[in-house]
Amino acid sequence: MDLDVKNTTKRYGHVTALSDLSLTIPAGSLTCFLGPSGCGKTTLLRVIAGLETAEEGQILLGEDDLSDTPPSERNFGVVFQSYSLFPNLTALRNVQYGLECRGWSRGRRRARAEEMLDLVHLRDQAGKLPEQMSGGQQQRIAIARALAPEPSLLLLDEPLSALDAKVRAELRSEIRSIQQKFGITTIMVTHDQNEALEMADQIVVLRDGQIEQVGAPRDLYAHPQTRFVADFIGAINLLDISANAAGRAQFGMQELHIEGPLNGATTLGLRPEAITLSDEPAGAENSLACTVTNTRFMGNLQHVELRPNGAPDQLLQVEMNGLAQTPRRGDQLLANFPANALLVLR
Amino acid sequence: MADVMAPPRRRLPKMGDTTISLGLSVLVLLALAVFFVVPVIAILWRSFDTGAGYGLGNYVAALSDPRIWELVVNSLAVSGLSAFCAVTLAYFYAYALQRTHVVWKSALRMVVMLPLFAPSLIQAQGLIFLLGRNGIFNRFLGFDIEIYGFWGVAIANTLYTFPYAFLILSAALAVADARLYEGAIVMGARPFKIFRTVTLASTKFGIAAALFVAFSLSITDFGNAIVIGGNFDVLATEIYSKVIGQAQFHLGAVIGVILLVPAALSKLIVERISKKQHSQVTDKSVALQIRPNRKRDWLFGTYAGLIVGVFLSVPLIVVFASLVKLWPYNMSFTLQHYRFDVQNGTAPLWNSIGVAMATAFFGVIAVFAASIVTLKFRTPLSGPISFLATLPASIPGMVLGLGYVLAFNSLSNPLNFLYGTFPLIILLYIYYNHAQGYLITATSLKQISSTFDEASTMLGGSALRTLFKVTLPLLWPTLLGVGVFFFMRAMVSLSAVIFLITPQTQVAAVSVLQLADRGATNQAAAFSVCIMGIVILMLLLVRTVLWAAGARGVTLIR
Repeated sequence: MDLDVKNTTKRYGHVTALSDLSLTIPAGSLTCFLGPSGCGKTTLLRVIAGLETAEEGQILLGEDDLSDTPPSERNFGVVFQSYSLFPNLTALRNVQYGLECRGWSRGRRRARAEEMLDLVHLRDQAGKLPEQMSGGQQQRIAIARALAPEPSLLLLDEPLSALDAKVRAELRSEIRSIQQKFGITTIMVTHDQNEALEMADQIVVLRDGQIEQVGAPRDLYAHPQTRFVADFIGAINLLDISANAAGRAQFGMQELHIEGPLNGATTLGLRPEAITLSDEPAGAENSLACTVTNTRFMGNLQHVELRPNGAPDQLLQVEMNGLAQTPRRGDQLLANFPANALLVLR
Repeated sequence: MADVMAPPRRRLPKMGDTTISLGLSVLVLLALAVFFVVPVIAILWRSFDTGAGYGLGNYVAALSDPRIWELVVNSLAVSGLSAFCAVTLAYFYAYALQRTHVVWKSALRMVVMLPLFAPSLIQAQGLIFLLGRNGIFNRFLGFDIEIYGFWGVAIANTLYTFPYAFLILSAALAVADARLYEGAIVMGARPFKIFRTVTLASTKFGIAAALFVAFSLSITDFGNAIVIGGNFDVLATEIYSKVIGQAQFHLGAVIGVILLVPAALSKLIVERISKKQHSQVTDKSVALQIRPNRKRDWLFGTYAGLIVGVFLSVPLIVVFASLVKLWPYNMSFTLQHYRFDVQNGTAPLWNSIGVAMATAFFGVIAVFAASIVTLKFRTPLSGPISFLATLPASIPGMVLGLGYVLAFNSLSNPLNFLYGTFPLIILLYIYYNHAQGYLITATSLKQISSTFDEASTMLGGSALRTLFKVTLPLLWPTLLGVGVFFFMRAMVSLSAVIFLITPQTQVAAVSVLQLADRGATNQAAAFSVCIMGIVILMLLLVRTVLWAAGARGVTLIR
């Protein structure tokens, strides 16, 4: 069942954490709430969970209005950043907890809990207390605990940010494969764009309690609509432009060719990997004469910093694969890119 | 899909958590109202009741009597002096334990806690055996000391309030920022200057808090003043003689209200101060390493030895006196005083144990319920409850006790049947110590991360399930500690229950006073020793239980 958030507003005193926010989470998908701290992503998750009450708006699961349903009766599974396993209970008892709350029989409870422990490959840790396990193990148990009562929705609140890099990478793919195996509708809050790009079916970028843009990871990367999204997801050159007399984009002393209308935009986005460098004109739709101001060697990649001769106050970052070219500081080059690489941003 | 959308089905909450939260909140609030607010109002009410209507008549009468002003001066002078002495002595003692390398620190710490394990008047008892007319110094060492009166009360209260001051100062001296000391040394400051500008300055809030706590304990204490005061009267003893001696409840109430003023004021100031204290040390502070310094250690070691000598001599002389036939005339050894063949025999002791056990059990339930409804089951009543729960700390025991008499002795009170029974004494002990018990429990409860509650809720657990399956298993060591605190206070508090005692409901602390008053000093000593023994036994027992259960870091002595 789809989850619908409708016109939800949440205030803390004078601070508006969520402002008239509406959103649909498609059934069976993994949706990431992405944004900087303070953007309202955790608040939105907590409102959906029922741990916070919104002043206005509705939470609908399929046909059911859950706005007045207490969190304990929503049947949602939650995994917290801090694991929050009950420290006085063993791993197995932790996983059984939700089943006890639902009055499952002892035998069914145990079978289900063991099945869940198998799922996260921790059957051998069943008798251990949380303090005897590593952070990654604890978070796996927490996932098993959340899934055991067959929740209709799984909510993950920055589940990986307390873990070290290696464990985080492992758990990313593990969470994703479990989610796909069960086909469970899942929401994950994160501030890590790579995590969102790798795992999500749908990314919701939040800013100041409002939705900035919703889309599939590739969509958001290829077609960011705003400066904020373009800057937040991946690296990008933001070019300050103005409309010239002909209504075209004027970048310093040079005109740029774009696809589609400008619609009054003053910023164009250009991904660093979309630029190619050449000594001679290469017949590209856009070509800027530049001076190399800096280079950084990063193994398989090179980062080159350029100062366009026509707009010396706006530096361009270029990312090059391989070592076919090795520009040096002070070199005069042409930066070439097609019209469709220029993203018109609000 | 149909053109007209069906309105979404609303999944409404089942009755449950909110009902339980509200019900428990009302219960807690009601109990605080009946057993704390009503008695306090009763005493205020009575103080304005002149018999011919309500007004300031009693106050005018009381305050126009020069005697009351003499008592006010006496109370302020003796409490001020003993607070100053206790804090000064305790400061250097705490310094010795926290900032030097003296040996046997844990033993040093335990010895000065001894006054907490017995009724306050054991200080007066011990001092009389040491310095009284028939005391060791006058009788056997040829001195001629007159201990009864101002100096006797001052010394006894100094000893009685020392451990409280020590606990506060020890905590203040335990935290220190090494960077300040390194800075001072680098700038070439000499040790005394460092002590004055860094150590004293960074503990000034602790010192102020300790002063006010010691002052308010002294001014509201009545046991020492009545035993060793002689003709020197203070406000606390005056209430006793007005109420018990002359049955002038209205004048007792007036003096009670007068006594309430300094006690409540100093509690308020302490609260203010303790709020400031927290910001002293930040997460950037560097812990202080104590440098080796033999001369300093010898100096403070000698000082600590002297203090320990004093704190051991009082209980030891009382133990000794309880074991001789007739102090000071027949010093041969006997156990006859432990036969308790006077008065009610051992009954008061058993009564006290029963009362203390019940106080511990129900007291823990009361403060746990109050903490739960203010921190976990939040309702609109949480604010008022948390305010009321901490208020009893500002009410002296004698005043609350008198309030109980005035409130529950009245036939118009539907709970009048409680008057003259043990349950009322137990309730008085619970609500007299409610503030501290509540604060300890609430602090611990706050440290249990609220995400455990949220995790349990999201897994479908009700508030009660969360309480019993998660919160209680994590909190029980603290609750056991709070139980010990209630037990200890119920064993040793004298001033709170002095007015509620009847021949049928005698407790041990009051027996000590009555025996001492009657001149049965050896039996009184034996009684004190028994109280102290029971309290220490209980502490050891609970410490063992906690140790066996692997619970660390639970403070039992407060």
